Amino acid sequence: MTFMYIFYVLPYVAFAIFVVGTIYRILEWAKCAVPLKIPTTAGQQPAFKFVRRTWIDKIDSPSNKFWAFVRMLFEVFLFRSLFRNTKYYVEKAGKNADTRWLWLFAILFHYSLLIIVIRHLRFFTNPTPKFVSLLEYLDGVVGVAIVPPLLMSSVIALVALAFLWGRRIFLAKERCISLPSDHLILGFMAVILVSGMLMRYIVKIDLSYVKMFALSIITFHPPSPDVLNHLHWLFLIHFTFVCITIAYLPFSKVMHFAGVWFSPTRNMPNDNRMRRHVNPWDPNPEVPILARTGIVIDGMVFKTKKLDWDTYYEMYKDQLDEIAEKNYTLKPEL
Amino acid sequence: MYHKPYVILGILAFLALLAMPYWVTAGNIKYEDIHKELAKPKGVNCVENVKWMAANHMELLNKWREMAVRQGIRITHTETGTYNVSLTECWKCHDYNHFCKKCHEFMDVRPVCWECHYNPGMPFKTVHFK
Ligand code: HEC
Ligand code: HEC
Ligand code: HEC
Repeated sequence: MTFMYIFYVLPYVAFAIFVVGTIYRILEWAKCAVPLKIPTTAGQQPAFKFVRRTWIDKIDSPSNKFWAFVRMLFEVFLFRSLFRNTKYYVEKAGKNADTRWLWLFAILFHYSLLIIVIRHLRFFTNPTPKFVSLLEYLDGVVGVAIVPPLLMSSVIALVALAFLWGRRIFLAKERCISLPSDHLILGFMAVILVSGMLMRYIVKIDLSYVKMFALSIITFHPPSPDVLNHLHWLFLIHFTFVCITIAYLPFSKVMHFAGVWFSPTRNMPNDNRMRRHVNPWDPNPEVPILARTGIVIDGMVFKTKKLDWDTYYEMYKDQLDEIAEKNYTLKPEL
Repeated sequence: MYHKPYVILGILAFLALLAMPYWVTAGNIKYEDIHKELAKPKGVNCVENVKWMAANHMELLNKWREMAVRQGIRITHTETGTYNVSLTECWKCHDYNHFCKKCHEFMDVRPVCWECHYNPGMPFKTVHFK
């Protein structure tokens, strides 16, 4: 059964794609210039002494790098801007509906996933560190009544996932803005969660071989054919989907875990009035940008303000020629 | 690339997070073939088929608990023989410390049963088997 070694190679391939892909995406983002200062703010800026400014205002409208960093932490760990989610369409006599349940289920889902990932360390470490055992114990205190104890994190993750997916399926407007890729990643999550819970509670499998397999992956110690042959089909489904998901991450929306650090509306201090923001690709303009006839990028001149046909054609030459080939007439609008 | 120091710091943090299994154990992860280390049980057969037992022994004990406590069935017949419906039945053939506990420690499973039930790994003797 040498083909079973595919399952041993799979995680390395998936991780290589994940690491290289993620670093590539990060570097791509790092290369993007931010020409303008665009923090979105929801608090009071520093003003006259008598204008009250609480610490919440400092987070929501940071005036220096330190508070911008604090705001970033609030964003990453508490989903601050999602907490301000109010319905963006007017339904009830012009009043915004409170839709912060989205925040609730999002935060439940993410933190449950975190706990689940940490709990899985028990398969990848030998001996298992104390904090992993403690976490699993705490996770199971509410559910000790059954054997094995019902772990709350998986139940919460499943319920939250049902809400997050249900939102994209049953709410008309959300359904309409959902792309196939949104459903794909939620589907992956559902398969992984359900197969994992099935293994723990219903279709019992021999976990000792699963742990030996996991240890062989992490210690780069190829498993014996005996271990591979004892792996249960349900485990193989669970494992394969985890690998596919990991390899898919760099191509997916899940990259928001890295992208959030790059969002200019979150990571820029709101100090437009104190410090001049220098446009990185136009650092020392002699003439202000709007007063010039064009900006030079990569040796090409782009006209600002009003685009004329020649510049427009120059910019979109490929597409315009392609359209023209299909017998559409293209003429500048006068 | 803009903000180079921050970006490099971020990438390093990302890689460090991925290497978590190594640093939480201080690099001390050892591969172990647990099945070679378990003490050999007495007898030839387990209560049920061995492969089934390895995956389902907790379910079996759970079922036995209900049989014994709720239905008063104290003796059961399986394909391999007749057994007392009791946790102590396991100790006829299995060592606790070098069988059950060994595997459970490897798997990081801590059954709550021993808060009330006896097992031969405990320092006092309550049940004697030949
Ligand atoms: C080959 C390894 C192995 C051996 C040997 C073993 N167990 Fe287990 N046992 C496990 C695993 C793995 C679990 C957890 C299964 C799960 O979470 O679905 C478990 C779970 C249990 C549970 C349920 C506890 C809980 O909290 O989930 C009990 C009770 C139990 N074992 C009793 C025993 C007894 C008694 C023996 C010795 C006669 C024994 N086991 C031998 C691997 C083993
Ligand atoms: C009559 C003796 C006997 C009794 C009683 C008995 N076992 Fe076993 N058990 C065995 C034998 C023999 C094996 C097979 C060992 C082998 O083939 O490697 C075994 C295997 C097992 C295994 C699988 C270990 C592995 O290597 O995967 C588990 C788990 C287990 N027994 C649990 C129990 C539990 C729990 C009880 C109590 C309900 C119990 N046994 C009662 C004799 C017994
Ligand atoms: C709170 C204490 C307590 C805990 C914890 C506990 N039990 Fe029991 N168990 C009892 C009592 C009391 C009985 C009844 C004894 C009798 O009627 O012979 C019993 C009976 C049983 C019986 C049948 C009778 C016998 O002699 O074994 C089984 C099997 C059993 N328990 C399995 C388990 C398993 C497996 C666990 C762990 C998952 C467990 N119990 C945890 C208290 C406990």
